[in-house]
This record gives sequence, structure tokens and C-alpha cells, in this order.
Amino acid sequence: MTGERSPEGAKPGASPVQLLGFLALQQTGDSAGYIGSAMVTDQRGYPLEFRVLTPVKPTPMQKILFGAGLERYVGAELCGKQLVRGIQRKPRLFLVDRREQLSLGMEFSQVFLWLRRPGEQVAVRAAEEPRREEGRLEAAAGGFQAVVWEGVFDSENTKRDLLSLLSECSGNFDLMEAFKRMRAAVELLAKNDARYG
Amino acid sequence: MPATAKQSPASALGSGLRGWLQRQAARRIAPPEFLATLDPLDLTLETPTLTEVLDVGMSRPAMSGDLWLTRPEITSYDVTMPMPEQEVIGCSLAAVAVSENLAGGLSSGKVDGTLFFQARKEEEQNGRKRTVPVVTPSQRRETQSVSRERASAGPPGALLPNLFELLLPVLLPPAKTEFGQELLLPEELYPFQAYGVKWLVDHDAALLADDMGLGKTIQAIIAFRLLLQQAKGLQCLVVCPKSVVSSWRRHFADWAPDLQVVTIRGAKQTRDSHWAAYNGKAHVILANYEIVRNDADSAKTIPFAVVIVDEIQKIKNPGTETTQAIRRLNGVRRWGLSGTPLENRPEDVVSIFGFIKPGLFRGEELRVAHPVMVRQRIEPYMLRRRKADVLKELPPKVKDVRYVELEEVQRRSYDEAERTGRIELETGENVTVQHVLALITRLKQICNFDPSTADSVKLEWLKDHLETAVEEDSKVLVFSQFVQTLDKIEPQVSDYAPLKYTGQLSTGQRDQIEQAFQEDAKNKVMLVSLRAGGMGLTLTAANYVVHFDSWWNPAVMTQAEDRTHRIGQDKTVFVTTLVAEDTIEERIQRLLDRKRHLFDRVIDDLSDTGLQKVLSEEELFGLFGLKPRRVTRQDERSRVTPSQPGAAHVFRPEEPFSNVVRLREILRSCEDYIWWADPHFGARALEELAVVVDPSKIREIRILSRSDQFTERAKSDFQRLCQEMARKGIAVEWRTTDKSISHDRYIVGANQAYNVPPVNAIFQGAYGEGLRTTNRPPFEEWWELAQPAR
Repeated sequence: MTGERSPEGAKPGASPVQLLGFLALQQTGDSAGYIGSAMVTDQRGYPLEFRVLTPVKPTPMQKILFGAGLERYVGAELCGKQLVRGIQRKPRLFLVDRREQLSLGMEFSQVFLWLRRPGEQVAVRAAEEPRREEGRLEAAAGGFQAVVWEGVFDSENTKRDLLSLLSECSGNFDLMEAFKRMRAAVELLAKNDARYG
Repeated sequence: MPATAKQSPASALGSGLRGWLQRQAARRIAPPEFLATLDPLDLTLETPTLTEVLDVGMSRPAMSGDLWLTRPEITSYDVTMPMPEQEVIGCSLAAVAVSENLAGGLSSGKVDGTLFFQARKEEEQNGRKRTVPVVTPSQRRETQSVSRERASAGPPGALLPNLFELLLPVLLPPAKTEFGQELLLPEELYPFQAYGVKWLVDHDAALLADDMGLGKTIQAIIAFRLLLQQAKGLQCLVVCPKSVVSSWRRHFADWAPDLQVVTIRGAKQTRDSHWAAYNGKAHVILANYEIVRNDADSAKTIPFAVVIVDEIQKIKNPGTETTQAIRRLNGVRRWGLSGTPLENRPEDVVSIFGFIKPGLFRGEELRVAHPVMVRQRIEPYMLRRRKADVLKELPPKVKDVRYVELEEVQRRSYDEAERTGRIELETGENVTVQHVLALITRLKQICNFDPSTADSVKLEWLKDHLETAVEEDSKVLVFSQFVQTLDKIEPQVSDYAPLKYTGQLSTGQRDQIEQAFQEDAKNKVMLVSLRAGGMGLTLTAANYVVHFDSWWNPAVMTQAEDRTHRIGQDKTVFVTTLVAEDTIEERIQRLLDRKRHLFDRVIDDLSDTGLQKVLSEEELFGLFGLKPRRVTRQDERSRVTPSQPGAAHVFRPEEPFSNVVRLREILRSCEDYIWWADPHFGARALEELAVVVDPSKIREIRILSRSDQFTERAKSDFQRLCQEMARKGIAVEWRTTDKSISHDRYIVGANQAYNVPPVNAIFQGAYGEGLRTTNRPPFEEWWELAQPAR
């Protein structure tokens, strides 16, 4: 007769951890370049993996030639792809802080959603851009500010699952705040390692 | 590749710009300033193709290889260059992508990296010289061709702890302040525990002194959750012994998964920054006694809603630095936990309440503590339930798994052994499941005791456990599958008059020991070899059982526990299994947990089971992140090469002289130990051992034969061999048995097993066959059944 729980607490069956990915792109301290970073967290926002890229510093010539497409090229082509491929724990959903990075959805099987606070940025869509969905997410527990998401889902099932995950996560932690943490980590890193300055 | 592809980026662009500049010049418009810096020659080249202009080279940034926040799963190793007196601890991958031309794609096949080395330097601290590790980037730049996966995975232990430690507090989310009204628990609390939780919540100063095993940790965790829910605080500090830090962390994960729990560890400088960085970032901070003592100045600055001091009897001496540091902690609520009966030790209680309820005892009372006065004074602040009080609520046997975290030295030994072992598995020839099993055995032994320093976090836990159990007037059984482990534990617990029960004892000795443990009050502990003492004994005098390490088959462990949980036992039996965290023990535990249904369905009898019968070859190799290598026909052909150790058939009847040489080669190629089982082992073979054994590789020799082989001559030779080997640091033992164990003869090392001819037949040049075998014999089982040769 040993089937009962130990008063010391036998470990109950743990539910599988759902992962959430974050991709951020920020300018270097001297504004001369861009640093891409990725973080994978669990549903509570705990960091499980964090990766940072060395800065990309476009030359003046490159800035002119890439023009408005520069941030899309750096954010998605150079940094985004590298980070998504490089991280070891692959989440089904990536949240990005730049709209330009949404194009990564065409390269990878994961879903990419751009997050912003309502009213913070105006989403201007070019005529040739693919049609994307958008919606508003209120934090489940009501403790955090709402966020607006924008992106493309490959099916209704995927959309339902991932928005449910996002809703659960948003009850646990402020989704936009995660980007702030990543930026703070990169800034701290830059102070300690000249390569990231 | 087209000819234009050889142009430099500037040249190619220059061609395209030429016409534009000419048009601008015609309109008398000066070109932008930055264009003036271009080499004029570049502007005179041919117009590039459209493709070239579009693919402007911008270096692909490099992935950081040194910013893991968690220890990577062991998936691969980078073999790095050895540097004298230095240890490679990480590989930071710096920028790299090289495009030879504008048209070519950015390549990422080469990784140019900085290697970080951990060197050691001597430093003077508090007037004493100490060797401290220093992390430095190597002056050498290395370029290696590595795949992306290998580069990004990095070797285990390739963390740069400073970066890891630096970034973690920043990346943690702020501690949550809003909690729902529901308090979901993974399991229902026992009624006495629910009462304990409420009692803690109602008391700012509290000593929860339930008997060991009644769940004080859980009660404290849930009580803190309730305080959070009621917004009566945000942060809690748990101070506990080193050996239970992991256990607290896991209990929090199980019983309060919504809380952020961090552990203070690392070098002093890191710790100081973490005390501040985690303030407001974590609901719970875990720290062991030594850290709180050493970081008293940092720790006292943080206002905690609750300070929980586990095993609070450790501050019973008011004069120690630890006691002083803990008294200085800043906690609104102060809870102490202890399973040690304290009510009859007024001086200890006075010291403990100096933290829990400062001011409860004053002036004269501090010096002359009268037991009755002390008991009356602390009564409102102390809750103590004995097992007998709650017996009706408890099941007859309760089991618990305790995870312990290896400390630095033991961790390093373990990582090194696993790293080298894994490389051997990956690169060795004819690697089989037996080699995996040998490595697992070696690693499990290190989880018990560090091979060089004999450090053991499990032993630390055991000593604390014994102290409390003995205070309760209980007795404890400690099981291990390794007799060497029991040998190491024995002197460390000598205060409790330990008895040792192993296969080396005669039947009479076994009966004597069993009786002594059951009847003699002074023998508080019995150290039992799982194989020898797992069956047939009655040891109901004990009601605590500790499995120092785990056996593959839970039925064998249950059988061992039932030495005490049987007719005649009137107490609840508490069984604890120790598992070293983040080691092969934990990986096996997880794998076996997943396959628990298999045990229940297939292996529910008490027969022993080899691990290879429970886990598949893939699963066994998978424990080290490897895949079993399938033997190809080519491999088979190359393996069957006579005259070489490793060949399928080593000994050949037509080569009697060479057979002796081959025997020596086999002995020489054994690693770590030589176990030789031969019913007719002859004294002549002792000479071979004396000549061949390499003390740098071998630490132990075991000989197993029939008893009639231990003749007077053999005895005399053996004694001399033992003396000689002892000087070389090699332990030699000869055991005999007349039980029919095997008709075959074997020489076994950690890395190999050979089925060999009778040793006398080899020396006499008689017919003999032998081969390297993948079926490793159950030598340890035979060994346990045998008696020391006399």
C-alpha cells in the first residue's frame, strides 16, 4: 500500500512546456548599426535561451542603396533568418518587434506575429503587401496593458491554438516587456563586450 | 563564375555610378561627399550586371556561441586544441561570412572564433595564497570548418559563467504581483498539513518543528503563496543547507509553479550583484547558509516579506558568524523549520528564537535558560507534530526522491569523466552497449563520491538526515549497489555506530549483524549492499530507508525497502532515493519514469533485470546523445583480425607462444580495472599481473576463483603482489566461491570484456580459444556471492 502521496510531495506529472519566441532588432549605441537578438521563453516568460548577433553596420553607400528596405533586409534576411535557424529550442510562434520581420513567415514553418501597443504605431500597408490579419489581445488576468498583433496564420486551427497560447502567456507576463528585457540585456552585454558596442 | 565577379564591391558599384556622376556633373551638381572618398579608379570599370548591384555585400552577423542561458543538451563536442595548464571553457564565434564578390552568396561555412581559456593564477586572499580561475580570450585566432549545429551547440560546460550570470537577472520578467483567487495545488494536502499552512500564515514568528518527513517544506511554500495572494508581501528568502537547495527548487516548481524562484550562487562579485539584481525580480530567493554568512552585508539590505530558515537548529550556537548573519536579515515574517526535537534544549531554543522572535528572551534569560520557562515562552510560536500524532493520516510507506546538486569539485570530475567517456564512445572501435554500461557505472560512482577528493553532496545530505533521525530515536538503513560507496560512508557516520552488511560476510557474521541492529540501541545505522542485503533480512528496527544510488529495477529497490516495511513494523516507513541533479542519474530516472508502465506490466516480479533489458540500445546510447553504430560487413571483416586484442578470436591453438603475448596485451589494454574470473585461476597468472599492470590506468584488480585454487603458494604470492600493488596505488582482492557461477572465464575492464581460455592452459601451450565479447558477464553479481580468499 504505497500508492499515496508522500507528505514531502512526490512530483506530479508536469505538463509539457509551451515555448514562445521573441525576435528583436535594435540599433547599436552609436546608431551606426543593428543588433538582432532572440529569446525563447516558457509560458511564464522565463528565459530559456537567448541569442545575440554581432552588429551589422551598413556603410553609407549601403544605406543609400537599400533605402527604405534596409531595416527589412537587416532585420529579416540577415538577422531574423540566422536567429530562427540558430536557436535550439524551436517555438511554434515568434513575436517580433518590427513589422519588417513578418516576412520571415514566408521562409519558416513557424508563425510570426508583430506586436505593438494599441495606438503606439500606425500600421501603413503597401499595396503589394500580403493580406495579414490583426487583432487585439487583452491580458487574461487583466493585469497588463492590451497589445495588438498582426500576422498570417496557415490555418484556422493554428490560429486558434496560438492565440490561445498567447492569451495564456499574456496573463502571466507583459508580452511587450519581454522586448524591453532583450534590449536591456544587449545594452548590458555591450558594456561588457566591445563586439556588441 | 563570370569574370566580373572578381571585381571588388567598390569597383562594381563604381561602374554603375559612373554614368550617374557624369550626368550630375553635366548639371553642375557636386557629388555627395562620401563619394569623394571612393578610389577614382573604381569608377572607371565596366557596368556591373543587375544581379551584382542587388546583392550588396553586408556581412552576415555571427551567432553568439557563448550566451546560453541553460546548459545545452549534450549533442556534440568540439574538440579543441589543448593548451598547457589551460582549459578551454567556451568558444565565442565572431564575425565571419566572407563574400569574395558581390554576386556570390554570403557563405557561412567557416567560423572564425575566439577561444576562451580558463587559466589559473595564484592570488593572496586574507593572507593566504589561493589558486583562482581566470577567464581569458586566447591570443590565437582559430579558424575551423564546423557545421552550424556543432558551432551553436558548443561543448557541455562551455558556458561563460560570467556572461550567463550577468544576463540572467536582466532577462527575467519582473515578479508578478497579481494572483488569481484560486490556489491550485497538484495534490491534496493532508489535514495536518492544511492546519500547518494556516498556522504559518497566522504567525509572523513561527517555528514549524514537525517530525522529519511530514512535509514542512510544502507547508511553508503554500503558506507563502497564500501571503502573496493576499498581497501581504512579494519576496521570500529561503536559507537552507547546501544539500537541499535543489530539493527546495523542485518543490517550488511543483507546488508553486507560478512563482519566480532564483538561487544565489557563483563567485562573490557575481553574488553581490545578484542580491541587488534579483530584488523585485524574483518571488523567492534561495541561498545556502554559507552564502548568507559570506554575503551578510548584501543580503541584509533587501526587505523580505518572509525569511524561511530551514534546518534552523544550525543556528543554535549564538556565537557563530552564521547565526549572526541570519539574525541580521531583514524579514517581516520569520519562520524556522526543523525536524529536530528542540523543546528539551533551552539554550538552543533561546538562540534560535533570537532570529525568529528577537526580544523574546532578555538579559538574564539569555544566559540562564530554564526549560520550563523557555517552553512556556515559545509555546505560542511553535508547532510540532510527531509522526505518532498523525499516524492515522499517513500511509504505511511513503517514498520521496531527493535531488541533490553536485558541488564544484564533484561537478568538474563528473563533467570531465562524461566528456572523455562520451568521446571514447563516439570515436572508439567496436563500441557496444557494454561500453555504455561501463561508462554509466563509472559516472554513477562519481555521483556518489568525487574520485579524487571524496567530496560527496549525497553524504552531506545523509549526515543531516541521520542527525535528525537519530534525534527522533529512529534507525536508518542505507542501501548502495557499490560496496566501495559503503566503505566510504562508514567512517563518516562513525558517531552512529554503523554496521555494514555486504557479500563479504560469512553467514554467521550476517546473522550477528542483523541481530545487533535489531536489538542494540547504539547501532543507529546499517549500511547495506543492495545485492547482499536486499532479500531475506528483517530489519524492522529502522523506519527510515535511504537509497544512496538507484538500481535499474525498482522491484529490487522495493524488495530492499521491505526489509523494514514488514510484519513487526508499527511506524510509517520513509524511503528516500537520492539522485544527483543534471547527471546520468537524473537522465536514467527520467527515462525509467517514462517506462514505468513497462515495469508494472513486465517486470513486476522480484527477479533482477539488467538495464539493457529495460532500455533499448538506442535509449542507452541516447543517454549520451549518441546513436548506436551499426556494424557493417566491412567492420566485421576488419574486426576479425587474428593476433590483435579486439579481434573476434584472439587465441589460436596453433600459436601457443603468441597466446601468452596476447594475454598480456589484453591485460595491458584494460582500463580502470581488471576483473578476472577463472574457476581455475593459477598463481602463475599473478606474475603476469605484476609485470603487465599499468598503475596510470588501473586502480583495482579483482580475482575470482574456486576456493581450492587459493593454495598456500598462491596465498604467499598473492600477499606479496598485494604489497607491491599497494605501493603503486592499486587495490587487489581475491575472492573465492564454490557455487557454480559460470563455466567460462573472463577478463573484464571498464572498456572491454574478453572470454579467455583457462589461464593454465595458455601457459602450458594447450588448446585454447578466446574472443572479445559483447556479452559482459555479471561479474559484480558473482563478486557479491563470493567470500574473501583465506
